[in-house]
Amino acid sequence: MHGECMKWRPVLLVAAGLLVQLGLLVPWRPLGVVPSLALAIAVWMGLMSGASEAVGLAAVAGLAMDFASGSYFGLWTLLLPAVALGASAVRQMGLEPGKLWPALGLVLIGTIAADVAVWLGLVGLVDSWPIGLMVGKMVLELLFNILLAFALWPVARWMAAGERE
Amino acid sequence: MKWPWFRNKVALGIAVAGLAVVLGLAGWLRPVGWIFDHTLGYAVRPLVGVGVTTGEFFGNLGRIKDLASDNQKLTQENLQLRQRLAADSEVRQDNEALRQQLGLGPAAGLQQVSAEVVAFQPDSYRQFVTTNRGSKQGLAVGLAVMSDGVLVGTLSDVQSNSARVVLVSDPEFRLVAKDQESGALGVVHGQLGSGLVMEKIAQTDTIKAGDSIVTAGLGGQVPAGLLVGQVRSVDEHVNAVFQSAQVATPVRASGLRFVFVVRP
Repeated sequence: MHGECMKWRPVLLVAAGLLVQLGLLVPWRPLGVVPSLALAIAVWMGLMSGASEAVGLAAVAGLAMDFASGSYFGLWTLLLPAVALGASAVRQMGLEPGKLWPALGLVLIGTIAADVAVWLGLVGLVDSWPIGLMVGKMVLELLFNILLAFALWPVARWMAAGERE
Repeated sequence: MKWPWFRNKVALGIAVAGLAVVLGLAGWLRPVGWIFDHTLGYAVRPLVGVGVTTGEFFGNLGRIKDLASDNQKLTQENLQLRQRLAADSEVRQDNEALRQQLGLGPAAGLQQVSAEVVAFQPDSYRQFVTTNRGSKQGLAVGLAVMSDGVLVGTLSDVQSNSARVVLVSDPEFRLVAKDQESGALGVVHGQLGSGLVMEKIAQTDTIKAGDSIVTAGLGGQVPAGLLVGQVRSVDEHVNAVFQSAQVATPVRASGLRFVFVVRP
């Protein structure tokens, strides 16, 4: 019974997160950027759920994001499990689950990694690099993603509660 | 701490994700993509409209202060377009009369396939959308995609029931276009975050702000005469071989909901 509780909550969270990410946040593009709810969920899953669950679900979510994408197949399939693994590693170091600061730090690292990967993919396609615009977009993404991670905090605790049941 | 256990998980996770990427790049995950499209894709579609409308709403809020000047500009543009329409009507009648006299049939119109935008690129930099029409509806890679009478992009990947559009504002987009007023040819391509640029325009050609840029119809499957945008400014480099121009396009990825694919 305990095992079942551990499974359905993260699955529900990932499914709902993907719907919101691909159905709302991506078409909306607030202030011209795409906030990454999927990244925030991967971080919280790594911190609050089992490592195998977190990595597996993050890989499925990444695959779904890559199928929706027109370029860089593999970016999200590699990034989301990597972030979930990083979060699991932080948890393995003995950190108390449910702390906010590690989650925010990991979201920050994940956002920068995703943007740098996209920039690298643009080498050869772009003649002039609007550095100000790119940094501006990244900062906005960081702010949105940190807000999303903060908003997910109670959900993460609910997920952890399921694990403890 | 259970490090050996964790290292096993790390290795397994990296291996599975890496394998998925390799298989995906080799095109062997198409069935998995099909499953995602027919499960998650169907669930996402009703939400896409809400996302687009929300984006439009907040975008319009930011443009309220420009409404008065936009209105004035549009009224002026409307008058100019009415004049051009009247002149074009005369030209069309002359053209039809001449074709009749020469024994030619009526000029063939373009066939258009309507499609709904069902997915957007999930990052802040690239400009792709996915439509719900594919090869089963006769679509093929390279066909032009229009919205509101303006070229929005070309098809870059076509599956049986879906097609991916690379938008004109994406850095990957490249197309030979011409200045409708002077006939100057150039290559139009998207820029990162700042619209379009038309390059490789010969120094001997004349191009000026306000000119309409249309597709040249040279090579590929994009017919001639589709509106791409208007010249915003010209970058004249006296010592360079070519000149270039900044082109304004009304295309905004986040506002796209329905498009038309043009079949020649």
